[in-house]
Amino acid sequence: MYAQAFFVAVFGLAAIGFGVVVFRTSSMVRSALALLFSQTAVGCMFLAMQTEFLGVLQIMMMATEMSIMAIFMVMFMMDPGGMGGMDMTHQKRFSIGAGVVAAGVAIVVAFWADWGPVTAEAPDAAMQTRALGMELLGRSMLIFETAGITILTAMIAATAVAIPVQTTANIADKEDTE
Amino acid sequence: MNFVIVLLALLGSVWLLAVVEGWTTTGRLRPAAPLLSGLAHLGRESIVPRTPDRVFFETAPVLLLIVAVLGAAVLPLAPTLVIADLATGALFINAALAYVLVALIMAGWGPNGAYAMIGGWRFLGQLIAYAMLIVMPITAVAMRAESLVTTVIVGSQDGLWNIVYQPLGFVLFFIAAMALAFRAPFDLPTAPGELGGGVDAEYTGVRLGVLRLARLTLVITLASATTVFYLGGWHGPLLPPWAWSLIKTLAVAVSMLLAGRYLPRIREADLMRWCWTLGIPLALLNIIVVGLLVLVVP
Amino acid sequence: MIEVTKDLPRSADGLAMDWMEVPFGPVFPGLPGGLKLTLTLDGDGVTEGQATSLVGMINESEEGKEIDAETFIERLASAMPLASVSYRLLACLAIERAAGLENDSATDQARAVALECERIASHLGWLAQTGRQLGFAWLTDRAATLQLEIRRASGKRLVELTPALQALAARLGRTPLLKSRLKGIGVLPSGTAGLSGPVARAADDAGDAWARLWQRLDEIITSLDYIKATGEPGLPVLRNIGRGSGTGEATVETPRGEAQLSLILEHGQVKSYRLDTACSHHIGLVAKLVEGRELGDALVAVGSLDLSPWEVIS
Repeated sequence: MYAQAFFVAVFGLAAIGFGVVVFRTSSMVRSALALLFSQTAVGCMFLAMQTEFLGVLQIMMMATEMSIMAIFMVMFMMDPGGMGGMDMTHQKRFSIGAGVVAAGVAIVVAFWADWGPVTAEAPDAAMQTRALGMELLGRSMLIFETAGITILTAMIAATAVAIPVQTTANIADKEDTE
Repeated sequence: MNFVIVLLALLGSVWLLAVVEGWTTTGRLRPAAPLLSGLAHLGRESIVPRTPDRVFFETAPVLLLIVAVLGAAVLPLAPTLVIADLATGALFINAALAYVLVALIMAGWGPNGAYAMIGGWRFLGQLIAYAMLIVMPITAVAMRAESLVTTVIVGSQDGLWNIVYQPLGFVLFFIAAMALAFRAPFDLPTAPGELGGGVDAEYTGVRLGVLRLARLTLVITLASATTVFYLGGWHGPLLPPWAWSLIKTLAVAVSMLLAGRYLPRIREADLMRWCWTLGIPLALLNIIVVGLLVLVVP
Repeated sequence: MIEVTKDLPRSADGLAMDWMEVPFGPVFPGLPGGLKLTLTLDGDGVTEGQATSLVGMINESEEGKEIDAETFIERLASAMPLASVSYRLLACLAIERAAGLENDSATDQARAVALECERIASHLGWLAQTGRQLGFAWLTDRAATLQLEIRRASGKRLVELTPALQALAARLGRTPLLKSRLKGIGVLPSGTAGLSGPVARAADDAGDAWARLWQRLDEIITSLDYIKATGEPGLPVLRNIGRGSGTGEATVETPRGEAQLSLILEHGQVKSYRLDTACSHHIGLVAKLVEGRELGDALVAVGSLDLSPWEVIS
């Protein structure tokens, strides 16, 4: 019990620590990977809380996602290495305010909400995986499938929008600029 | 105790693989060569390039080694000889190996060099190509075993190995595993002829030693995964279970090594195109076929 | 952000990124030593590039300094380490013509066989280099072994090596991934100016790296057939020219294309000379070949030209 609480706390603090690094560095790759390790720490918290499947899934998904985010940040930012001394921050006052308010709300909810009775003994990992599968392909199937298809559609649509349309007008335009 | 035994088996396999690698490239069988070159790496100066991202530069080789060992931790050598027999073993190995990408991006970005950086980002493209071909064949394997536990997966192949039950899945997984281990012909991130070593290019001395050890360990881990998922793990006559696991793992690792010798490096665009237009449909077909077999054949 | 990026050059995908100028060579595993390729990279795409030779000859003989004919031949041959027999032959021919010597058919034949031998060896050297560039270890080993054997071989031994060379070509035809790697890369259509040698002959076919590979493999077999029909190779040695004078011009089809030498001979001393080689023209094609290509494809395209930096005359 104490060991569990200890590990949850350690990974929780690590998650916060890496979260802080995200905003304290001007290197885009460092920022993205710090976010990755923050999320990995959250995955480890899941593991410490005996939800093995969710933890492993979180750790797995974030590696790829954050790496892809890193390459987009490198592509789009002017000073991806943070060595040019460019200031990347803006709207400081607003974001500090928003951050403090959000943190306050989260803390208030955490302490005041009724979380229900504490589970004395978590079911073992294999049972959890099975239960999760049953849930995903039973009651919640419609929700997850809808969400999945929506994300897929959004991705295809975004790609389609990003591909420049080859019309005579913009070919001529391109030739003008050259 | 298991931890020590599995780690020693891993080290032993890495050593054997390094000996075989030396044998195929130089034509001489020198059992001491890996140890000597390892010692030589310790003695050489380990240069840090100018204005590096020091954290990434130092972390990358170690991270690669750690993820390779973590991946091996869930793979059983014998029914009880496994470091962690997780309920989500088949998923865990994916999670661990996803960090190969993170390590390579770090190794690419860290040294502040053009060759390394291109190599690192190239591997991201490579991941987009191979990732689905790792996950989807494993899905079909888990379907047959009706479990994600690696020991149960091996148990499910008692009598009929998965290489016979789902040969398509085996072929796809084998190719994708080679791409994951960035062995030739999928060595796009290192590509000596194109990037002069790529992510390896800026590493020297002890750091390069760790990086090489990590790469070989990664190959062994993936060969071991192939053995567990498709080649019936420890099953085999006469010899003890752990011996069968090691023999199969080494055979897969050596065949990965040899395949690269006889093939030119694949083009990045071709890899991407073939994986998505051919590989993924085939992987889906494999899942459907296995699904039907699981339902129809008792 | 728009203010910062608006004046930056755009790549084909319309994204403004930092372009990097990256040197490849003069010592790079995938390129012949001495060749320096400077590529401007946009991600892993090449926006522009150019090749220069760091070891090439200079086409001016030192003013007022005459060179002994024998010394001239030795110098020219050792200045071109990748095709020394061809240039030795070229120098011999030019000097002999300047001295007014008639052709001697027996000598010519032995010299031609030596030239064909070198062609085979040179093409095998290129195959080994290509194998190194493509990470195709087997090809590197095999081609390098055969190249060494050819360089040491007599005419009879060469004929014995024929099956091995044919097997190499057949093996390359069967190798998976090789065709997709080379097909359509580095296309030089047949109208391109300045082509010569295997590159020009391959241009009549598809003109890509794949066609150049097969052109060289075919030339290996053709040369073998010629050697089989003709006889033993003989290293070109200058015949007795006495203290002849005059101007001479000779052309030799070296493994990399046509080389032309014209010189003025005075009392058995070379007074001045002009050398023109295929590589000097081919190196200028690099800029067009690499532009807009993916890095790996660009390097394959440059490699398929078989540039010898020593044979680039500036």
